[in-house]
Amino acid sequence: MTDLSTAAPQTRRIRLSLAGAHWPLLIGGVIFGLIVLAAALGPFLTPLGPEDTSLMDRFKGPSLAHPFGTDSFGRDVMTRVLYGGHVSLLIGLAVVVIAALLGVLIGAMAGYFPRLDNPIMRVMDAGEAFPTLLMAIALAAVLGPGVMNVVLALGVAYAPRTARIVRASVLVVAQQQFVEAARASGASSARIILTHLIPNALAPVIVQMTFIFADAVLAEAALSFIGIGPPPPAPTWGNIIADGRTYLYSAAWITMFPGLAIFLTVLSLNLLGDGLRDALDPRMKKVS
Amino acid sequence: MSRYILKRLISAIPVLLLVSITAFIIMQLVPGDAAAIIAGQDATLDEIEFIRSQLGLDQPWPARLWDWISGLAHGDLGYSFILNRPVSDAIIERLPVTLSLAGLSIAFATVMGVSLGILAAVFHRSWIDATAMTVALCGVSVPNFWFGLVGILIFSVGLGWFPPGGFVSPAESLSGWFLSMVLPALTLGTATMGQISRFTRSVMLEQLGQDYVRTAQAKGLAGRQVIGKHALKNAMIPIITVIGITFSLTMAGAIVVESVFSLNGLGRLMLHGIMRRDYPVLQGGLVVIAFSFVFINLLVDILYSWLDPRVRYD
Repeated sequence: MTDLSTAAPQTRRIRLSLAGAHWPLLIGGVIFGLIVLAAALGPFLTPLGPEDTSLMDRFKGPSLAHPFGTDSFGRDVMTRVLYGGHVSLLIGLAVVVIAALLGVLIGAMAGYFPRLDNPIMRVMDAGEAFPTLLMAIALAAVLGPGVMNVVLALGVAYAPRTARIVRASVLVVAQQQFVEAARASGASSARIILTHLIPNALAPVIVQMTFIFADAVLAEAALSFIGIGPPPPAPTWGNIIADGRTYLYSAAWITMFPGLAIFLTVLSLNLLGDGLRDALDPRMKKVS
Repeated sequence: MSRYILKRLISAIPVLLLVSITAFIIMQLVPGDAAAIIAGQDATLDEIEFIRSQLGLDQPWPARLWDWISGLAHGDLGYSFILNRPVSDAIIERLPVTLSLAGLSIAFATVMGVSLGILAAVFHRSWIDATAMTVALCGVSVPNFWFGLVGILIFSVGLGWFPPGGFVSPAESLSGWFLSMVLPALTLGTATMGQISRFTRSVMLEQLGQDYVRTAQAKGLAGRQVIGKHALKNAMIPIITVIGITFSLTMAGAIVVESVFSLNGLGRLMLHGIMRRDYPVLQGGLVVIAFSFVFINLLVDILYSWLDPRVRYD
């Protein structure tokens, strides 16, 4: 009985703080959900393939038949944007997963084992001295173009940021009494890290993952734009823009629509991240 | 003060060392025979061997790492066989373009970002706040290369206000230089502007809620003085930190923006290095950018103790 009565106000408080932050969370969630849905259902939304060329229909402006127009090969830009979204979003997701796994592992080690802390964090310092995008450009350039290499390059480049957050949280939680109690009752380090420390660091990591997703979509687009992303003819948002750039003055639509897609995706993810941060961290909410 | 600066300078040495090693390791990831790749497809075996020995690739990696680090200590960034000149020469030649671009974009981002942030904080929860934060959010969300292309389309092709690309040296024509830099600097600065204004707003809100602000208001100080002389001064330290951090965003973004506006800066040099598999140029460029980032942050740290006498790190 006592358990129930203390649990009830807690859940209510969480719900209240969610309600207070619902604006960005809601808008971001809805826009992002629609974009994911469109990218996932892309093949069913359009009868054309992303690499179907039609020389009769080169450089057609937006019309009912081609809502986003056609490009230099007569390919339907809307189809390419939908299929490109598929690739771009999957790359973003894979980057988030890799960055989170690496970051959590490295951060937890640094936070939990005092001897490892300094060496690990100095390596992270060095990694962060290279701007993320630059690090990714260098890695992708060296590894060669390809989806896997882009994912790997970005995932590694974003890991230090996550590691720093996890470490900070682990440092605090590891000092608390329940961790000491767990250790006293014979729990192994691995168990303490996995069941006590990492779950407690999860909220800021989830917020960070949303922002990394947004950043990764931008970075992948930039890599594709400068020609070291996933190679054409398979479309990504970035390489459609790179394609269209040559015809910017005569056929601006090829460039405009994929750019808008990136913009909306990143905008919705940033809103989602802001909303999640406010909902999960009441201390931040007071400020904003 | 000078002792503190010296101490900070010394503490930067291990980071610089690690950065140099990281750049070295990245370049070791090149698959296959780097010398053969650099020499090109119709090179003779002798030519490949010559490049291999010149680059030191015939030596074991510890020796190469030592050569690289000791070279760096003397300002030697290696030699590019494709450009046929030392990497440092090529970088120094391109530096004015990138520095113009980065400097102007940071200036724009700082002025615009701090103003928007202050406005949003002072008029908290009003339409001004909402507008400023929408602008900031759009700024951090828009892909800069696309934004640049849209800018070219509207302001160069449509209105004819600015050239669509190319660099004019300030020695040649100051106004031409400025006009050629407006679009690239705005393009590059937009994301930074968004970050700075979002951050400025939250720091200012925090300061405006403090007791000393209420005291200043209670004693009848004008609103402008409370904000400018009290709150902003205290908010400045975290804001400067963020400006220092965004420097890295700016340098990486420069690679993309220089490509959009055909500016022959460090970024484009590195991009060409990537395309031509000119690995020494890429490695040199990486280290120059990372070093400059470390030094900017050092400068920020030193600025703290000058801005806020309470900050003493020893």
